[in-house]
Amino acid sequence: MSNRDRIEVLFWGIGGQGLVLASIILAEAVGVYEGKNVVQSQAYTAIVRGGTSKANVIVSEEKEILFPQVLSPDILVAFSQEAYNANKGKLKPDTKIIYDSDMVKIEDNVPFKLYGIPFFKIAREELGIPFAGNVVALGAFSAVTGIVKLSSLERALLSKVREEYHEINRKALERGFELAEKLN
Amino acid sequence: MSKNVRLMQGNEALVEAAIMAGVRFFAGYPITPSSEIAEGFSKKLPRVGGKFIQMEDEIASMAATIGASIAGVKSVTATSGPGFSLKQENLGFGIMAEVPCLVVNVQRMGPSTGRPTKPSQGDIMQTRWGTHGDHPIVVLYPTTVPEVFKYTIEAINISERLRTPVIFLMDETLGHMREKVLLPEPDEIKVVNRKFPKVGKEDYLPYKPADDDVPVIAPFGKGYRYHITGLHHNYKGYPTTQPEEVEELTKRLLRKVERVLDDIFILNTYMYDDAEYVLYAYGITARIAKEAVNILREEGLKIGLLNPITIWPFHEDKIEGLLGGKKKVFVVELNSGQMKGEIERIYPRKDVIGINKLNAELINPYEIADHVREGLR
Repeated sequence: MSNRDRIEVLFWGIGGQGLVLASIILAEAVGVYEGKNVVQSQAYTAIVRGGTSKANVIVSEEKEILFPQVLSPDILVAFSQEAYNANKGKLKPDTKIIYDSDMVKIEDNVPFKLYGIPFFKIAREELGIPFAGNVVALGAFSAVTGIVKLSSLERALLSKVREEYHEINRKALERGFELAEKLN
Repeated sequence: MSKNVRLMQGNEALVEAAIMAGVRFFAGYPITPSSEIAEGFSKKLPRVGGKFIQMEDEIASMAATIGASIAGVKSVTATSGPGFSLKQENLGFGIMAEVPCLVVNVQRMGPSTGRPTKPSQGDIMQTRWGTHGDHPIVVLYPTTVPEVFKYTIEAINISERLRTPVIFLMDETLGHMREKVLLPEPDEIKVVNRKFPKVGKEDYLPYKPADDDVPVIAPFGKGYRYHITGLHHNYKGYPTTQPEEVEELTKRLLRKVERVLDDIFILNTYMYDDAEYVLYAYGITARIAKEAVNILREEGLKIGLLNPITIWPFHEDKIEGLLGGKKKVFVVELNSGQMKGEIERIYPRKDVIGINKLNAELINPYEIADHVREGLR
């Protein structure tokens, strides 16, 4: 765009991983709880569990967000090998890729900034909730990008889950944050 | 931030706004990309004492929406292209019988079932002339989710004031994307309600127009007995074959909208006063065209944006005035140039250039800027 007060985030993975929900939680956290401008959208196709799923979040501190889609992601959240393969040609040298290191393999010597964490394995083995990989990834997102506070993500997330699941979701977020901080 | 700030889809914002404007009835048949509207009303209307009905099809949905409004309840239906086609006959009934209601069309790409999950602006002319016969129509088409909220209320108010169906256009992108909306308190918004007759039940002439050319029609069920029909009718509401009565009614229906054109014509501009070149765009493409203005202004091109929210009626005098003295007009549309023809009626044809995209994808601001540069070569 003609200004750089615009951060484009592309979530890409497989239906059922919760990446659309993750994109909505991110948008609500930066928009409603931090007062930034934000637009969220998702691909509507005949998505079934196992098919490609993707979502866009665009964040701006001050500027009105006019074009509502990602043109060239500043941050790619990749939950499948296809997420990387399909997008590597569109990435900028300083694009940050936050990816599930069990599911996505990235070749050596690429210019991008890489943050690989086995989100879904951690959710499954450490936290005992296999589908919370998206939440672990959001925690990592906060640590890696700094564009959203962990506390804002937590507020947006907890507003969407039943109270009995608050503690485990909080843990999942924090675990993602810790692991990513070590990579920073 | 205020607790009244919410992240919501265009489709969700429409539901919130409609309920705030007093809507208590929805009949529809879910269709992508409008389904969240039906879903939202089905959850929210029962909580405010309203009614939601999923009908057997779009024809019946339009009929039920009109029926509820005849009974005095503010009513909405929502659909997309294929369903909007089915609603046209009853839409004409609503116009003829002067029944206020809001008809939402979240555009997908047509014709037919087309490209259901992607944006298009292919229904521009259908909103104007989809139902047969000479008739007035008011169509609003916002560009952002906060505008969806704001202009939904406006559209319902116009419908109530003029006693005519109003069409609210969106597109797949606008319906599904999420943005922040600052929800107002109920006392912060202006809500218009239709008038109730002041005369006695014996002397009542439902279709005798008031000074503003709008008749004061009692809701069914309040003791006022009258006839309602899609046939040309007299002041009592009974069918007429008298040429002078037919002509009077036809002209009055057109006139009741024309005479308030300045009030209902909503137009936003951007970087316009010193502009030599113009982008004319509406709906989702208008916000993208605004970014194209930013890009081209940085290169030193004096270009500005005309963005009508009220796309119909087309305010010829106002738009002609605004285009006066400008060098070229670029009409940006996700169709083959439906609105471009309107501009060509009031502006030299050689200076009107269409920027069109027909692959069910959004146009991006760099593409618009490229087309403008090419058009100026």
